[in-house]
Amino acid sequence: MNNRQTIRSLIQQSRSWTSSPSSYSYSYIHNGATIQFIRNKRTTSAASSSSLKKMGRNSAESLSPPLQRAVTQLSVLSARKKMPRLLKLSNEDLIKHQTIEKAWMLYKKDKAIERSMRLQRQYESIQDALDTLESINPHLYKLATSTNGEGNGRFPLEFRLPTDAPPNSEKLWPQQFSSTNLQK
Amino acid sequence: MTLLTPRRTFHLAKPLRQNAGIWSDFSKRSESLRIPSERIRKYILEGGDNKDNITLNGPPSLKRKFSRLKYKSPEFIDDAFQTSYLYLQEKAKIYYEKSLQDTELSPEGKEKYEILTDINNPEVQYNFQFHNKLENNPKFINYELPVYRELGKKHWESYSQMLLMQRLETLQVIPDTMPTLVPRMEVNIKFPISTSVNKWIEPGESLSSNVTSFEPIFKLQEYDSLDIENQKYTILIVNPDEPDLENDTFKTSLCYGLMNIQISYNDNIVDLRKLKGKENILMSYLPPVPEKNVGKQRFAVWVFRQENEFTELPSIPGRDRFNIRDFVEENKLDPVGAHVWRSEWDSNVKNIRELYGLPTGRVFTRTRTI
Amino acid sequence: MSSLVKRFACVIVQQVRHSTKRAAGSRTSMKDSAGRRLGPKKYEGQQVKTGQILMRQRGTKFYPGENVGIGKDHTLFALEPGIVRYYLDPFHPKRKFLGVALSRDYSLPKDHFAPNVRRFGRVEIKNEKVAQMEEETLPRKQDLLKSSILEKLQSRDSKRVELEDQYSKLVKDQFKLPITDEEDLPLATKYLARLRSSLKNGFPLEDAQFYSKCYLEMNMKLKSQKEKWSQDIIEKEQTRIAELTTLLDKSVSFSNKLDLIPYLSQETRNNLKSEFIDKLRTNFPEIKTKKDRKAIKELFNDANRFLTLSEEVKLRRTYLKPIMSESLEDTLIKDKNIDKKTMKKITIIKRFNYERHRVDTIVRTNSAFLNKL
Repeated sequence: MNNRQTIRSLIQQSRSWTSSPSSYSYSYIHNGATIQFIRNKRTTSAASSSSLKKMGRNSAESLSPPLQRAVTQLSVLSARKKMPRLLKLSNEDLIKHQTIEKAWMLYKKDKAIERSMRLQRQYESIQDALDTLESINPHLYKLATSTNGEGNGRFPLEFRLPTDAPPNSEKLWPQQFSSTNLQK
Repeated sequence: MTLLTPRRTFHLAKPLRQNAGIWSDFSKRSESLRIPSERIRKYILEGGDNKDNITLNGPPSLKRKFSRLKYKSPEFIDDAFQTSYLYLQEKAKIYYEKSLQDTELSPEGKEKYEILTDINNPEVQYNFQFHNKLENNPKFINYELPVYRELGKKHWESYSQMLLMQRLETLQVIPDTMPTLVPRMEVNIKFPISTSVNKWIEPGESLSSNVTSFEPIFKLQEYDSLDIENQKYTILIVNPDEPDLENDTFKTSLCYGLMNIQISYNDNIVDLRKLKGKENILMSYLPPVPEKNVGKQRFAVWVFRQENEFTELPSIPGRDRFNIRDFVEENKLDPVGAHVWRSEWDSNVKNIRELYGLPTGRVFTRTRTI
Repeated sequence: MSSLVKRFACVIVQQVRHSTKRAAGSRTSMKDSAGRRLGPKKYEGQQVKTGQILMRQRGTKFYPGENVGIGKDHTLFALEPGIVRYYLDPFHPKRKFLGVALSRDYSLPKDHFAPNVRRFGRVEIKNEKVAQMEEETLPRKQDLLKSSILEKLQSRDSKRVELEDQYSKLVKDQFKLPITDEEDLPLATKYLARLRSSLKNGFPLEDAQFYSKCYLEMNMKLKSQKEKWSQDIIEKEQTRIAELTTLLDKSVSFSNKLDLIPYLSQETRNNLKSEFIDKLRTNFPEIKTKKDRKAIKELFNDANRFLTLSEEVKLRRTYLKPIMSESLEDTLIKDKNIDKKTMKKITIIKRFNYERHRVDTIVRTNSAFLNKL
């Protein structure tokens, strides 16, 4: 049990969550050799360290180069490595798995709803501010909302709506832009 | 039984969870929402690493010790399950409270909340997925509860309902007997009296005259929520392929007619035990006795919801030239379910005719006129 | 230089005309085939017979409508004699249909939800001899199978008769049931044979009893209709069947091998079962000798009366294991140094240990293997 706990703590340190809790990669140390798992498939060589020690080597990584090459080539050809293996779950574990998937789906849905609500609120508050501006100063409102430059009524680029993610390519951003250039 | 589950009583004494949520509170909720086997329940809810379960060496649904030893659960499934379970239970609690508190809720609204409360409950899902849905044991699948009805309906719609509609359409039962059908009830038939064979008939199956020599029994599974204690049903079996030589066409004859049938969600097999003679039987059973060379005859089973109970059964002139559409309209019947089987002449038809005291069958030409 | 450039700046490209030139498009223009004589062969309102061709076409310019078939080259032909109708169907708004109406006053398309109008098209054979012959002719495949089917039927019937004989003897001589009436005995054996097959097919006991009783009642009712019995006789017969079946239900049961045995109620079954299990537990916690094994086997001889099949299998598996439990220390040998003498008295098992991911070698004395005792 003690040994099991240490393994577990090691896995918890190294695991990284991806899209869903049922698919993640982890590694643990087995008899002194690190074994890497991705989507529950072992990716480092299968030879255990104890058998290698008998052969006079120290760790699992030190397979002879031709042997390692053969292993790699076979693993490339193998369909099993490309296709995730079908999960063989007992009835109880299948129910657990379905529960986890369902909870994760609902959680993601909740997050999406929350985000869209926030954006909705932001949009409405912008709308409110513009309405107030219109009632206070119609001229400024016109300047603020006009799309083509009357005076320099163009909406300043610095005032862009903040987004969650930056634009994905450099081309989308006018690198040479400066407000002083526009003034001239 | 003491040998098979020696530790059951020992487990029951202990509380399962420190902060028991709504899903493990059975003071107000039905016992059918719990997994009856305490071992399996414990294994799912508390995990395989539990101190009490560790002696079991694996999931209890695996019967052989060898396969239990060989089996490995996915890693951390219990941790992830615990979190998910609590999360889902927390969500379900909102619906549960709504279903209890809102006094102004309509029955449908209340039922909707009851479904939402338990649809994600792993215990309910376990009970439904791994037990017989057709011949249900109310201990596991209790169709009185809206959740199980909802799950049952989904399961029926996923295959059997589509199969039925496909058979009704390709065999032209629709529109030869009734114009169309919006299926709302699962209908299954079996012929246990004639052959003692224990098999539900698939829609459209060809049956021998021996199998159909005595009346079938029906299983009428209702999934909709309605006042089932006051709902009465009518069952008609018609044969639209009886030759009509006068007009060189076919006529419909009535094979079997039952009315004023009372069922419940769980007890819904209609056999002679449910029938009370003249109160129920509109027309006694006449088995299929196709004549030589008339081809395969279709026998369409139609199930209707009645508007109200008939104190006196409607009188019909006879089996022959039965107009099912007019009958349905006159008596305000609502078609909810159907089934169909086919019969053809075989060498045993002669014996069946003799048994029922029918005249010997006609023989027709093998080829049709041009 | 500049003048030279100016003079030749514009070079005029001119087409050259040779003395001969081939005609354009000669590759394909010589392949015109004769007309395929496509088009309608029968027109609206024309009378047709079965099999007559209505339309030759490339692709489905017209679709086959009511009583019309389609060939492999999309030829439309009549399936019934009648009147040709060209029509549109609102159910398939983009298609043109060609149908055959069975009579002149019947218009197409028919209402989608109305029943099909069908022609029977066969004539009754009035001549008795011809009818007899027609009834006896079977399709070739059925004809070939007929003899084997009849053989099987006969063997099944003879088996049933055998079983009924056996039951009548059992009921009369062994169980000594008070069945005095001569007519009751065949009824009882029929009921029991029926009950047996129902139980074999997996009906619960209550259902099996009910449906078997129904079978008798139905047969009786049909007989009464045929022989026109009065209501009194029918009621009498009904009570007779009811009494007989209740008597049988109360006095005989079936073992899990479906043999007829004296009646055991569910309560006594449960009692016998718990007694049996207690006996197994107290007397044979572990099998150590051949004698124990024999004793347990003897104990099980009688068990099919009160145990269900699955219970019996389970108990047999737990109490008649071919190999002793490894928890018995004296059958395990942990000493790694084995000399030649002991080699004959031991068995080595190699087994994969899923927890250690290693093959375990287990050394056991031969006495641990009960099948080798």
